[in-house]
Amino acid sequence: MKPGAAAFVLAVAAASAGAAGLPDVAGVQAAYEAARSAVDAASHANDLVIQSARCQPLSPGRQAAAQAACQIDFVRRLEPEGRLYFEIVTLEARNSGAWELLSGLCKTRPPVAHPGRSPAI
Amino acid sequence: MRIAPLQAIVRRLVCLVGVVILGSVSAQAGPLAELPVLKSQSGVLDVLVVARGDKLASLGRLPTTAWVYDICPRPADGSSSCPPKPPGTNLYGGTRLALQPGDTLRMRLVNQLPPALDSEHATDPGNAYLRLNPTNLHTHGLIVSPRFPTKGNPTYGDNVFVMTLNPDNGLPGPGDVLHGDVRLSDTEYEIKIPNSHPAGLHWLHAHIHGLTVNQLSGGLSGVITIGDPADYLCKNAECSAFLKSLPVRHILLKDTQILKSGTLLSEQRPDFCKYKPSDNETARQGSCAGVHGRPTGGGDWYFSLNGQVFPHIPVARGQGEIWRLTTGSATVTYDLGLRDDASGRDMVMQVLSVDGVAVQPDADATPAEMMSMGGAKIASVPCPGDLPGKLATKPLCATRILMLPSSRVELWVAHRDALGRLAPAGAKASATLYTAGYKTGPAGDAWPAIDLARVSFRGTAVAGAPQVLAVTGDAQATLRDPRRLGAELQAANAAFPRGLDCPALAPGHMRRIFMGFTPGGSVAFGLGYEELDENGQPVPGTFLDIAPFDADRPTLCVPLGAGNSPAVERWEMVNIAAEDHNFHMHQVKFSLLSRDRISGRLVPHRGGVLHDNVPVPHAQGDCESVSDWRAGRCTAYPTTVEIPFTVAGDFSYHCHLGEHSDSGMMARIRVRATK
Repeated sequence: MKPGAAAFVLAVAAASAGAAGLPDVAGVQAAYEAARSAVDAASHANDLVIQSARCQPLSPGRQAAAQAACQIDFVRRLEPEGRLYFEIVTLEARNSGAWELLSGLCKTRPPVAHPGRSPAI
Repeated sequence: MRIAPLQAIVRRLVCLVGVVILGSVSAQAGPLAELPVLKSQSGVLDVLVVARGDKLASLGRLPTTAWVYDICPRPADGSSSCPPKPPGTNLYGGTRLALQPGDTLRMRLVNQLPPALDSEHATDPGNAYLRLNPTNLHTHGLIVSPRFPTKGNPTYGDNVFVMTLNPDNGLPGPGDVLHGDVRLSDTEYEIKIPNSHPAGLHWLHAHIHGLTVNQLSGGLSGVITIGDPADYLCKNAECSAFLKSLPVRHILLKDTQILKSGTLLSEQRPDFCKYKPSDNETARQGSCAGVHGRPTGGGDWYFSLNGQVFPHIPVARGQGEIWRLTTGSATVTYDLGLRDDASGRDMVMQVLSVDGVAVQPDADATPAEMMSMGGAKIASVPCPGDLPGKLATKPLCATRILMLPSSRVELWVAHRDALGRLAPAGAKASATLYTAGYKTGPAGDAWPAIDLARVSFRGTAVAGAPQVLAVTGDAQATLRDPRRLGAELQAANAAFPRGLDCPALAPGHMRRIFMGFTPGGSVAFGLGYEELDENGQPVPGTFLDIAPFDADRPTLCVPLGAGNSPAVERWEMVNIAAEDHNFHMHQVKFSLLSRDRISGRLVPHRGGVLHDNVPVPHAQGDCESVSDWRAGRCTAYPTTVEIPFTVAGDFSYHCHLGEHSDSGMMARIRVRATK
């Protein structure tokens, strides 16, 4: 196993064990809800239910991370087919103990120019 | 044409002064080896696919790190590595996955690729993550479901809207804009091949938007076969016995540019070599010399067969061989021929299949029909011994085959005389498999002329050998009226969301796809759209101007028919650019339509050739926009196809020239299941 992969496994193991300093499912879900309401609630789905989160510090070697990256998967309550989505999110710790979403899910995305574009569906 | 940053363009213009051509490396690679094969057993092929860097000794003077698929049966211990290969194993050449109709292909893709440090599109807004070299898999040519995972089955079908990152390369950061599903380390795929899936030749390749050129020119491709040629050739006893005497070769064409330093140039440059050899250039046997003074700094562009540069193909039997050719090139168009070394003429070859589907023109198809059903790919010539009524379908022969990226073709290759008849091979009979070089238009690229392999012929065909092979089977019928396939895909189709707003085309209507640059001074490639009524006039309110790929939402929606039966639509591709494009759609096969000379109506061919990619020729004139085209500032040459949609889900259609799709000439389509 390569060193980077080993570090990631260790980080995931730490997250699974509930180690302090990394987000968990509830933390990521709360960060998403906060970002959704703060940015533009109407344009972001309100039915995302995060199923699991595997996180590691964004700065290598730090367990108590100011920023973290997480592999998450989620479902949407309004999709009866039960599709499972996979995403990577980055988050930053706040003094309140909460996490703020930096990228992934609804929070991202510099505008992409689509001149004259309107969706056909 | 590559869209180059201004600086690069200036550099290239400045460096035009003092161009010197180096003699290219002439590497005799010995006899062409078959690709390693992994076969399904008991209806399943379960493999680990590790995408990784690998030291490559077969190209160039210096060891080079290519990007390869290391494929092996899935280790029982869950390992993410395949067992070590014997020394000298050429993973760059590719692996063949041999499947049968009804099989299940399970793949665990593990990303262990090095970073893509020279990714040009990593400098696009939000795309810095491309340097992390994410990857994925596409089973090109298979009519299978592009499923998304569910809680009940967390595997993917043939779905390109997922990417797998190598955590060793780092993680995306704030500002990165990743599309679709994103996974770390590995992704599981499970692809069910329908029982009624026709036998044929397909391929496996990476399909990351923005990195297609890099990953294909790095080497990330392999071959997939369903069944074998005996499934659609020679069903009568006499021909069947003859067929058994024909060896079958699988040939995967790849091309890779390597700098003088030994570094692989993953961001392939179309102008790396001159189009034709210069007077002082040595013979281009499998490579051409990089032009001095350019940003590329010399080096060589290697054109390999199964990873071997200019191999020898010994055709040891007088009755010849069946060659199953796949191009895994990212960008290059091959204008293939087999030149008899003694006479200099191109030898006649019988074309047995195109894009994984056996060719079966009607027995009384006219020469004009034979020419048009192959489009620009196959320059049809009369077959030797093609007697009226002798065969149930008319054989297709050619002396040149145009293979744009992603094309496959299966050929019967034998020593033939000037009239195309099987001829005894003398002691020194030989030929050269070559690409003649190809220019894709005034604003396009000039793909280099290269000799690809030396071919030797020996022996005399057995007495009574047929001049052409009988192509039979039900591939054409199955794919043109794919109700059986649709029935088998019913469960997978039903799992997709049933949208409300996805109307079917009105009877007689068709879709028009524009291919060109985005308007407004942008230099991005894109696709546009409008619907045409039964008189060929645009339907008001349906026009979408040419725009770059939007990975997050479909551009078009097509509903399946009642009971999720196949939906057949006609699409017209209008290329307004001054360079050729190559239209490709996932999960379908389509036939070319031609216009009746008297009525002007579009008519389908009777039987013939099916494609999953087709050249769309460049326009003549000066069009920068659809408005220019409507105003008559250029003349386009539309390509019209009939597409039976059988598979529900989200997939893509795009130009299969990697530099064009990476730059935005791609769109997402949603085929809806019905209630």
